[in-house]
Amino acid sequence: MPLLEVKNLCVSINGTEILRSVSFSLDKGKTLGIVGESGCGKSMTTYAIMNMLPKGGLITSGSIVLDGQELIGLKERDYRQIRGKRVALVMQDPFTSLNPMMKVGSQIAESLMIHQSMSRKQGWLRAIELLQSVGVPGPGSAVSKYPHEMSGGQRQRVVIAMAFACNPEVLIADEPTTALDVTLQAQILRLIKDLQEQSGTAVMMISHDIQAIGSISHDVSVFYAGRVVESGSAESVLRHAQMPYTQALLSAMPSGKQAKLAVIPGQPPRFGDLGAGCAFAPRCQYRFDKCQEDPSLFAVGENHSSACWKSGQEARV
Amino acid sequence: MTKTSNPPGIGWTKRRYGFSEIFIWIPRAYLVLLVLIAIFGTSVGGGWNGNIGKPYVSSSSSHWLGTDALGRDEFARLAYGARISLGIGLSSLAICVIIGVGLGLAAAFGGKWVRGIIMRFTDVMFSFPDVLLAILLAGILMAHSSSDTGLLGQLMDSGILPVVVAISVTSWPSYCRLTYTQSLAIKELDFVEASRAMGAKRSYLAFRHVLPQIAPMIVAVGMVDLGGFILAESAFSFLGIGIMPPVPSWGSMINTARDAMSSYPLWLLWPCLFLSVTIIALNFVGDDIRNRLDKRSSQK
Repeated sequence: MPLLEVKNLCVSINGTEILRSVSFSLDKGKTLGIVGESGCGKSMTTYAIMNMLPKGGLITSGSIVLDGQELIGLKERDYRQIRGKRVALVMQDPFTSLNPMMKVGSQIAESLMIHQSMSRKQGWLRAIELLQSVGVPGPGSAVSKYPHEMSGGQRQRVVIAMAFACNPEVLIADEPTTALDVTLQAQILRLIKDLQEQSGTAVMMISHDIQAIGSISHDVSVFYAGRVVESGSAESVLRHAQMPYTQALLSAMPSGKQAKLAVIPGQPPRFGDLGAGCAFAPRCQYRFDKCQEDPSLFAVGENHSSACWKSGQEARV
Repeated sequence: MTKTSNPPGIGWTKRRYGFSEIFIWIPRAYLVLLVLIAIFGTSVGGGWNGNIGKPYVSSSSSHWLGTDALGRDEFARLAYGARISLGIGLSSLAICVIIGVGLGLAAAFGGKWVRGIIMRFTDVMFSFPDVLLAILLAGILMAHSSSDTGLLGQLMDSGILPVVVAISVTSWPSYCRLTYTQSLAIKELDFVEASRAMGAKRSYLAFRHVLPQIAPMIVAVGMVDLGGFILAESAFSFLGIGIMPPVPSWGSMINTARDAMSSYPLWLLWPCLFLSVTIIALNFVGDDIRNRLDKRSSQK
C-alpha cells in the first residue's frame, strides 16, 4: 500500500477549477517528482495536501490518504498533528520562508517544541545537531544567527533542517532550488537525497526542471493545466516520453549539442477558459481531430501512462 | 561573512544623523528630566499640597518658581502635574495597547464571526466622543464621591480613574484597527505560512511571529498618542471635568492662572510651557522611531 495516495483530487478557487482529477501515489522511502510549468497546479496540490489552501480554495472531490488515514475532512486541530510531524514542507524561497526577527535555532526548535514537547533548551541543542547534519558550517555559532546573516544556500539548508526535525514520513519540497544559484541547486538536491536515505522519508519533489527531477526521482508525474498528463517511472518517462508536452519539456532543456534552445510555442491556458478537449492541443504540433475530446490516461507501458490520444491509439494498435 | 545590521524591510534601522541630531537628543533629554522632576520634585518648597501661605510670591531659593494663588509651591505643583500627566498618559496607553492589540490579533486570526463582531464593535467605539464620556464619568464621580477611602476611592475622587477610563475607552479602537490591518498583511508572509506548515497553533503564530513584527510600529504610534493623551487630560482638567482639586494638573493650573493673567502672567506661562514642550518632545521622539522603521525615509 502506498504511503501517500492522492486520488481524483479536484480543487477549485472561488469557483474556478484549478486541479482536475489529479491522482498519484508515493511509496515509503521513494521520491516522486512533479513537473510542470508555472501555474499548472503543482503548488496547489501541496497546499491541498497540507490543508492550507488560500482563501476561497476548496477541495471539491477526491481523496488524500496518508498511511491508511483519509486526510480530507480532518479537523484543523487534528491536521496540526500531521503538519510538520508527519508531512513537512520545504518552501520555495529561503529568503522569505524564515522569520527575519528570530534566530534560526529558535525556528528549528519550533516544531520540536510543538510535536515532541521538547523544552526550549533541548530544542536548541537538537537544532545544533540538525544544522550539523544539513552541512551548515560552524553549527554551534550558526544556531544563534539571524537569517539575514546567512547566505541563500545556508538558509535553504536551515529550512531543510526544520523540515527534517521531526522525522516526517513525507517531505514535500516545493521547488526547493528555484531561488538558488545554479551551482547550489545540485548540492541542495543531493542533501535532500542524502537525508532521505538516512531517514527513510518519502519525498515529493516539485520542480519545473524535468532533468533534475528525473535524476533523483523514482517516479515522475507531469502536470499540465491542473491535470496529470503523463506519469510513470522516471526512466521510462524521461527516455520514452509519450505525451507531446513532456517531449517538449525534455527538448527545451539545454544539452550542449543544440545550437538553439527549443521552445514550446504559446502559453499555458488560463484557468476558467479551458475549452473542451485536450488542454495542450492548441500548442501541440501533433494535434488532430480527436484532440477535441478530453483524453484520459492511457497505459503506454508497464507503470507508465499518458493522457494523449496519440499514445492512446498506439496503445490500442 | 559580512555582518549586516538589519533584516531587509523589517525591523530597526540604524540612522546616521546630521545636524538634525539635536532634534533627537534634546527631546529625549527633556523627557528624562521631566520624569526625574515628576519623581523627585514634588516635595520642593514645602511640597505640592503644603501649607497655605502668601499668594503669588516671586521665585526665590525657598520657592523656585514662587507660590500659587493659595501660597503653595508652584514648582512642586508643576512636578506633581507632570506625575499626573505622565501617569495618566502611560496607564491609558497601556490599557489601549493591551485591549487594542489583543482584540486586533484576535480579529486577524479568529474566524469570520469573531472578526465581524470585534471590528464592528471597534467601529462603534471609534465614533464615541471622548469629551462626552468624560462629562458622563465626572457626573458619576460626583454622585459617588467619598464613599470609599481605599486606593480605588482615592483614584475616583481625584478624578484620575475617570480620566483614564474616558481616554482609554475612546482610544483603543485605533490600536485595534492598526493591529488588525498589519496582522492581515504579515499573516500572509511565507515564514508565517511555513510555521503553520510545521503544525503551529494560531495563537503561537499571532504572538511569536506576527506580534514582534508589529510591536515597533505600535511603540511609534504610542509615543505620539501619549502626547495626545496628556493633552486630553489637561483639556478635561481645564474644563473642570478631569482632575479634581486639591490634586494639581497642568490643565487645572492653567485654568486657575487665567484669573490672574493680567497681573501674574508668569503663573500662566509655566504650566502652558510644560504642557506644550512635553507634547512637542513626545512627537519628536515618536517621529524619530517611525522614521527608523520606515526604511525609505531613513536611507536619505
